[in-house]
Amino acid sequence: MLKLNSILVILMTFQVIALSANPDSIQIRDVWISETPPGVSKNAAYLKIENTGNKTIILQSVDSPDFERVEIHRSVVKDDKVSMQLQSELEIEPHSVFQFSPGDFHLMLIKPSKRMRSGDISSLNLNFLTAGKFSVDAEVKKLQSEHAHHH
Amino acid sequence: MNNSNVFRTIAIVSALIAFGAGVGIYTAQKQRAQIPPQIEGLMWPEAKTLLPFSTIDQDGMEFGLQNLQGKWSFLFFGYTNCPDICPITLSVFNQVYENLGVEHANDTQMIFISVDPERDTSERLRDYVNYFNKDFIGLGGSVEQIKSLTGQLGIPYFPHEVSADGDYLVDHSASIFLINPEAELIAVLSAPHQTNDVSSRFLKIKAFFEK
Repeated sequence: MLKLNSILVILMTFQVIALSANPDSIQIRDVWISETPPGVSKNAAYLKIENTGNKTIILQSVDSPDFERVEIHRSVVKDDKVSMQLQSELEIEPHSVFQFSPGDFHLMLIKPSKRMRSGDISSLNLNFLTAGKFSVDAEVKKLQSEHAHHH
Repeated sequence: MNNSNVFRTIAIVSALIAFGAGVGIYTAQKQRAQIPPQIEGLMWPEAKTLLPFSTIDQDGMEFGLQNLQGKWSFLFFGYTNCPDICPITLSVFNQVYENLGVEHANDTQMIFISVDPERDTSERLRDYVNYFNKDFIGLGGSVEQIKSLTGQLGIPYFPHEVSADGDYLVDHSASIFLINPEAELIAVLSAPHQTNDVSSRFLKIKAFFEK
């Protein structure tokens, strides 16, 4: 009986591992932070997250040593009015690329420790459910009108 | 009736017919010229005439209806702490303004109006608009002053609840409002804004009015 229990535990452990997103299946690229005019205490960060695996991955939170806090937002335009919609978490489907871009999904970086200038490098920690923390470098760039989201 | 009278009558009738035809053609052309081109967002001939208003510009000077007269004005309503849509739109403003060149830029003004009077002082607005372009205008003032402009244009804005650290977001209009030199609202351009699209619509509208 003890033996059967042990086998069950081992099998269940394997199952949990099989259900977990594999860190190798997450790729984060094209990360950048928009430079802000002087006096503005919020930057936006944009990036792509690719899920190359077979399981849905979930981005739960983001933080950065250079900002007091980071929130996941989406700018939504409806009836000619724009509103910010706070996202509690993001699901990224298997074999898909999730894109954060100006005028759409973005990371809102709140209260920088100092004004970030074009060329500065900051870092972002992306915390995924089961896959854990991913740290990426993010260069600060001047926002160009060409960056605007194409619907 | 002798011959000369007949000729005179024919000449007078011909002249009247020619004059009538001329008037007819002229009127038809005039009417054709008044048919507005098909441009998305153009409100002509239902343009809205702006009423007097009073706001404060980035240098602390009063800015009212008379400052819109005689120029083409692009208006966008937002707030300086807006991290996404406002800087995108002002970058588009900058690119549109640069693309216009001296010929059109001289009679065009790009105006950002704050809907966050609590935080957006004249000094803050000056730093903000100057960052995008030294020629840009930033308007603010008291709640009543801002409403003297937003009220008549029907601009929506709603501040969110203030968070524990005193911060808040503001929902606001996403459109660009185009005012002609007679201080009439003649076009509302909906988001998302693309530089080339905004420039080409503006130049078509301007050409139509200056015909």
